[in-house]
Amino acid sequence: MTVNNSTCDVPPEAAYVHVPFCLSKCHYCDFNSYAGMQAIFDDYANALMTEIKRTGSEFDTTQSRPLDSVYFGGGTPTVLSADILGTILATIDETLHLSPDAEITIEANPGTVDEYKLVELQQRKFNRLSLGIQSFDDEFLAKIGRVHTADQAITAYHLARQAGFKNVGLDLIFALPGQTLEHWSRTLDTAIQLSPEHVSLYELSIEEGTRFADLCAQGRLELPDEDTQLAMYELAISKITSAGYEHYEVSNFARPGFRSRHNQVYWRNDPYYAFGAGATSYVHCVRARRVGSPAEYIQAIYLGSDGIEFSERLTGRALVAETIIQGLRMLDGIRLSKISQKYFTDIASEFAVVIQRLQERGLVELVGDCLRVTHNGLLLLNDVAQEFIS
Amino acid sequence: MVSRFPGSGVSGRISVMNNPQSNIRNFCIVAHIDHGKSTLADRILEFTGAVDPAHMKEQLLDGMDLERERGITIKMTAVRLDYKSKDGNTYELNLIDTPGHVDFSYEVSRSLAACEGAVLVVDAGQGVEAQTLANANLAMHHNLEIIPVINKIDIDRADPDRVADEIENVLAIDASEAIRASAKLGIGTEEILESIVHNVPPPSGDAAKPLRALIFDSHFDQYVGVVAYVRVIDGEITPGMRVKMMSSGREFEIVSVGVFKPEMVGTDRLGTGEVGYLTAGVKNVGDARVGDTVTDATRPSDEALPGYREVHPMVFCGLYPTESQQYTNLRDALSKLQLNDAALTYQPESSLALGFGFRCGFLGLLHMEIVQERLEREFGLSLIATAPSVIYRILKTSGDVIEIDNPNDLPEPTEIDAVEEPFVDATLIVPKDYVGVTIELCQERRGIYQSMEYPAPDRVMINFKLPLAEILMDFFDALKSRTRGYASFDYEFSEYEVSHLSKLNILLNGDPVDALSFITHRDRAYSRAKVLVEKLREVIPRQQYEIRVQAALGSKIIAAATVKPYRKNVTAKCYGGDISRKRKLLEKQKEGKKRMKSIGSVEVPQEAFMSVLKIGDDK
Repeated sequence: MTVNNSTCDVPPEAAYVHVPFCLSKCHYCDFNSYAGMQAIFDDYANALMTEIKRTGSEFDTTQSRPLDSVYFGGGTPTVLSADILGTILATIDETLHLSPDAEITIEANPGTVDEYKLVELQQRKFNRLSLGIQSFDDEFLAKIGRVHTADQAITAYHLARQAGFKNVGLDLIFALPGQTLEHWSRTLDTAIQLSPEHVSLYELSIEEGTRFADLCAQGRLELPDEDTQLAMYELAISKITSAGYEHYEVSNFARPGFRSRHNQVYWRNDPYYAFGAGATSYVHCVRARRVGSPAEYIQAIYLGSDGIEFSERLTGRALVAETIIQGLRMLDGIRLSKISQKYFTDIASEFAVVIQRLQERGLVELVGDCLRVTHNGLLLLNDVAQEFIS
Repeated sequence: MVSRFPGSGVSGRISVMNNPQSNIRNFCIVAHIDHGKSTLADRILEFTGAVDPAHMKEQLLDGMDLERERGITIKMTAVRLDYKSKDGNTYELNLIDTPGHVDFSYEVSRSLAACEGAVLVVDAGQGVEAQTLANANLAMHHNLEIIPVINKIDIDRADPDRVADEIENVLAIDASEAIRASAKLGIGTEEILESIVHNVPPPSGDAAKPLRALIFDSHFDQYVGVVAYVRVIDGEITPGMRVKMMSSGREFEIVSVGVFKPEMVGTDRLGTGEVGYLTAGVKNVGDARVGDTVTDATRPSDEALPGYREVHPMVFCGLYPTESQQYTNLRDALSKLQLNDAALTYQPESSLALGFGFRCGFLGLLHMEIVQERLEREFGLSLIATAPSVIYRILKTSGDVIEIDNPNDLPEPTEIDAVEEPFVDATLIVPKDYVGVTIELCQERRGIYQSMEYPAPDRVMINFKLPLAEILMDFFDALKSRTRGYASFDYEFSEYEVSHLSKLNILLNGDPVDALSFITHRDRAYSRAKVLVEKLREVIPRQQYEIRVQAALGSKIIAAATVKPYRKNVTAKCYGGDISRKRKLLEKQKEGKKRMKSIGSVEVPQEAFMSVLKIGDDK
C-alpha cells in the first residue's frame, strides 16, 4: 500500500503535559508516576518550561495554529502548586498560543485539592477538571491504595463546582478485587447523581511491576470473572446512557457538547505536542517518547537534549492501522473516505475483505461511508482491531 | 556441540608413562541418585592431584550443563589418575564414570565391562535404594570387586551400622570392611584409594594377543570426528595402526590415542589394560558403537568381546516445530545431536494437526526430555512434543505381525487379532508405611504383583510387572507424591504381552486431532477420556467460537466438554498518547496466536499436546 504522509504533517492543535508525581503509588498503577519526589518539583517544572519554550522556538509558530486543547495529566498534576501549574500553562500560551476557547484540562486526585487550590486553578485558565474518583466505596478505595475517601471525592466535586468549573469529568475503575455487580452499581448511581459533564470508566487490568501483579502471582487477588466483568461494563453503559450521556468511546461518556476534545485528538490520530518525563508526542508524523525517569528528564533538558529515548516515523500500514484501530474506539466510527483522503490510499478497497468478514460476523456495520462497530463489535474490539493489523 | 571438556580439545602429545600392567586399576563408582557419587569423584580427582581444587568446577565429571543442573550423570567419562600409594608404588587408576539412570542401563553395563572393580556408594541416611540394588547386581554380574562405601556419615540422620546391615541383607555383600566416608568433607578418600589399589585386581589381558579394545562411550568432536573411549583388553593400540570394528566390519586408521587427565592428552600408545581414547577420522558415532570391539585389521582377533548389542529406542514421540518454517532447522539440529548420541533415532512424519515433524526414538523418558531440552536450549527451537508412546506389537488377523510406535498407525479394529505391549520388571524400595499406597499405585497402573521382601526392619522391596506405557504416564511424579519422595524405583525390560488395548481419539469441533490420540487399556479408557477432556477444556483458551472437545473410542463418543466462547475482548484502558503501544500490543498478541497450532478454527496451545501425559494419576 502506498501511503503519503504529507497530510499528517499539519501542526498540532493539542498539547499534553505530564506530571509524573503522586503522593503515593496506587496498587494497580503502571503509569509513569513516582511518589516521594517533592524535592525535585521545582526543577521539574523548570525543565518542563524549558522544553516548552524550546519546542516553541523550533517550530515555525507563524505557521502553526493556536492550541485547541491542553491536557495536564499524570501522575497527579495537582501535587504541584496552582502557581506552578499556572506558570507552566502561561508558558504554553506565550510560546504556542492558546485559542480563546481552548479546552484546558487538569487531572486531579480528590485528596490533593481544597477550595483555594480549585479557585486558583480556575483563575489561571484551567477550565476542565478530571477527577480521579475510581470508586465511591471506601472499602475498595483502601484496597486499591487510593489516598482519599468517598466523602472527600464528593466534597472535591462540589468544591470544583463552587470554584466555577463548568466542565467536570469523573474517572471510575471497575472489576476491582472483590467487587460485585451491586458494589459497582452503587458507585455508578453516585456518579450519575453528581451529574458531571463527563464520565470515563476503565476496567482494572493487572500490569507488570505493580503491587497487584505481585498479589496476583501469589494468588491473593480475587478478581471478578469474565462474565461479571462483562456485566459490569454493560450495566455501566445502560445506566449512564439512560441518564442522558452519549457513549462516544469505549470508555467514555459525555453530556452533549462535552466530549473530551483532547482525547478525540488521540482517537483521530491527529498530531499533538507532549512535554515531560515519559510523555509521547506526535508531531510531523513522528511518535517520540521522552525518558521516563523525572531526574533523567530534568538532566537531559538541562544539558540541552530533547530527552527523547525512542522515536519512530510512522509510515504506510502502521500509520493507517493505528488510525483505523483508534478510530473504531469511537462509537460514531470512522469515515473511510476521510482516512483515504488523508493518507492518499483507498481504505475501502484495501480492507474490503476484512470489512466484509467483520460484517458477516456482525461486529461492524458500514453505513454509507461510515464504518463503526456494533455492540458485539465493541465488546470484541481487540479482535476487530487485530484484523486491520498486518 | 557439547565438548566434554570445554576449551580443551585434543592437546599436543605429551609423553605419558605407560605403567606396568600390574600397577593399573580400572574402576567405576556406582550409586543411587544423590548418594554422592559425583562428589566422591571430585574428591578423588583432587586427592590424586588430577585437578587443582581452586580451579575445579563443581562435579567435574558431569560435563554437560544439563547434567549439573539435574544432578544426574547422563553421559559418562573416564579419567586417568596417578596415585602414589602408601606402599610406595605409583598406580595408574582409571576412573570410569557411569550414567546414573535406568534409561542408560546398557551404557552402564558397557562401562562396568571396562572395569575390574566398583566403588559402591550408599547414603548413610537413606540406605540401599532401588538403583543401588540394580547397580550392585550389574557389578556382580560382571564379576567386579565391589568396594562398599557408606557416604555422608556427617549428616544428622546418618546411621552407618544400619546401612551396613542393609548392604549385607539386600545385596549380600560383606560390609564389615565398608569404608565410612563423607565425600563432602573429604573423609575416607585415601582409604577408598588404598582399598582400590589393594582389592581391585589388575587387568588380566594378554599383551601378546591380537588387539581387542572395548568401546564404552564416545563423543563427537567437530575437528577430529568421533572420539571413542576404549578399554584395551588384549594387545595395544598405536597411532597409524589399521583397526576394524568387529560388529560392523568397518576399518579405520588410528589418528591418535591418548588419555583423559581429565583433559585429553595424546600418548604414543594405549597398552593392555589401559583406558583412554582413540580417534580415527570416524565421522559418525554410529560407526564406533558402544559395546563394539576394536581389533587390529591386519591381525584380527577371532573373538569379539561379549555383550555387544545395538541399543534400540523404547520410547517414541513426535517432535514438531511450532512454526513450520523451522522444520529444516529441527532436522539439522537432530542430525547434529545424533552425531553424539547413537541411541537417538528420527524419521520424518507428518500430522494433520501439527504439520511436518519427526518421529523420534529414545531410550526412555529422561533421554527424551534431555533431547527436547537440548533442542530448545542449544538450538533455539520452539517445539511441540506429542505424548510418548511405546512400541506396540500388532498381531493381525492376516497372520502378519507389525510393530508400531505411533497410535495413528494402529490398523482398523477388524484387522487386529491381538495387541501386545512391552512390560518391565520394576523394583520399588519404600519405607514400610508406604507399602499400601505403592501397591495401590502399581495396581492402578495395571501392574502385576510379583514378590515382596523385607531387606531391613522398616523397609520393603516390592517387585511388580508393569506395562512400560503406564510408566510413561507420569508414574515417577505420582510415585514421588504418594510416598513423599521416599520411594526409589528401577526397572528393566521384561517381555511383550497381550493386553486389551484400544485407540482413543480426541476431536475438536468434530475433527479428530491425530496428535492427541493415544492407545490405552480398554478398562481405563473411560476414566482417562474424562480426565483428558477436562484437562483440554482447561488449557485451551476461550476463543471467539464455542469449542467442543470430545473423546471417542472408534465412533463412540465417551467423554465431552465445551470451551465457551469469550464474549468480551476489549481494552477499556487509558493508553494516554502512546497509541503505537496499543498497536504493538495487538501485533504481539497476533504473533502469539501464530505460535499456537490452529486445528481447523481452533487454536491449541503447546501444553495441550502434553496433557495426555498428565492424566495418569487422576482417578
